[in-house]
Amino acid sequence: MGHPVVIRPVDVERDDERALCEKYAGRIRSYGLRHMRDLTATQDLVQHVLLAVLQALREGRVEDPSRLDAYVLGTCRNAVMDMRRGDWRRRRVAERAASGLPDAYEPDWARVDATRLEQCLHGLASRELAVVLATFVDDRDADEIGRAMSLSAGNVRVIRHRALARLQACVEGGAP
Amino acid sequence: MSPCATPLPYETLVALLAHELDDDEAARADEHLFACDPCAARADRLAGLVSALRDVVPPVLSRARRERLEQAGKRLVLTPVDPGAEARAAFAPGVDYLVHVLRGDLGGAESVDVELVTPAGVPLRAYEHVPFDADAGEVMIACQRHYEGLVPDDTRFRVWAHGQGGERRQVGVYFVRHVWR
Repeated sequence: MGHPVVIRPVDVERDDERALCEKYAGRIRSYGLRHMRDLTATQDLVQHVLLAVLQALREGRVEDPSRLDAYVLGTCRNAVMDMRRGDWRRRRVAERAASGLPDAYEPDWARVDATRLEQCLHGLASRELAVVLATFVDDRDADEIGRAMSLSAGNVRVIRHRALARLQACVEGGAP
Repeated sequence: MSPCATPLPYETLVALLAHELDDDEAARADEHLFACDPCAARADRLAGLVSALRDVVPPVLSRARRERLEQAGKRLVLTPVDPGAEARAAFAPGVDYLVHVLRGDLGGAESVDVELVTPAGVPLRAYEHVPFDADAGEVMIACQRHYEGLVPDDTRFRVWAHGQGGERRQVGVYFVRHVWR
């Protein structure tokens, strides 16, 4: 017979909770943007997951706090599946979340300036622009884009990541 | 922030955002991102850029993108334009986008390019491999308020079709006189 699992309560000070929120908010946001492609739903996800993790820590339900990264990711995965079930539930968890985060904690979300982005898009070569728009505006994969542009899928990926790197450098302060 | 010993390559981050990793690769990437501060910060910035890109209304619209705009409650004014004829489109109050429907023979087209050209035919800007509807013979230009002043008012649209054998033919040159306000 194995030893019973002993779950030790973890004391989380408010400053620690704030640090935890600051550490994971961006990760949860990135995850949400990839899986839901909806800003409002992603904001709700960030709040919901942060609250769920804080509550679990407060109640000593995190068996191995040294593996908190995995716990947060698992909570994210479950929450996305959960939120896909219905908007009513999403709204409810968001309302609950708003009241449980550390005092005055608001996830920091620096949005990309849309005008700047358009200027930078115009700085791309026409083929780069076509690949970036086809991928992220029209949701076409590299194989499909490659067929349309008479390129291999590998070439499309190379054009895409180079274009995105240039675009990112431009948006973050380089020349358009 | 400690440096990452095994940073995720930029290509992998892009592929993750483009949903081109298989489930196992995506799961491994997620596990790394949740455990690694520098990679998480890079991924967050890139995800923000891609999220903003998804909101971009491109200068040439696919039918699906046009439908998404309409579903989002955007007010579009569609103006059919035939080659060689002059059309007029006005940004009346409340109009979000002027959509110029450039009509022409796109039969057999494998891909379509659109150029912005001067009245003398000098290219100003080119958009390759744009969305088009071969059956309807339509290419849709989404004119947006912030385009005012970006190109001269007498700019024309020149549409090219590429056939299966790679041959290129001009579909038409189109002119829309814009009333910006």
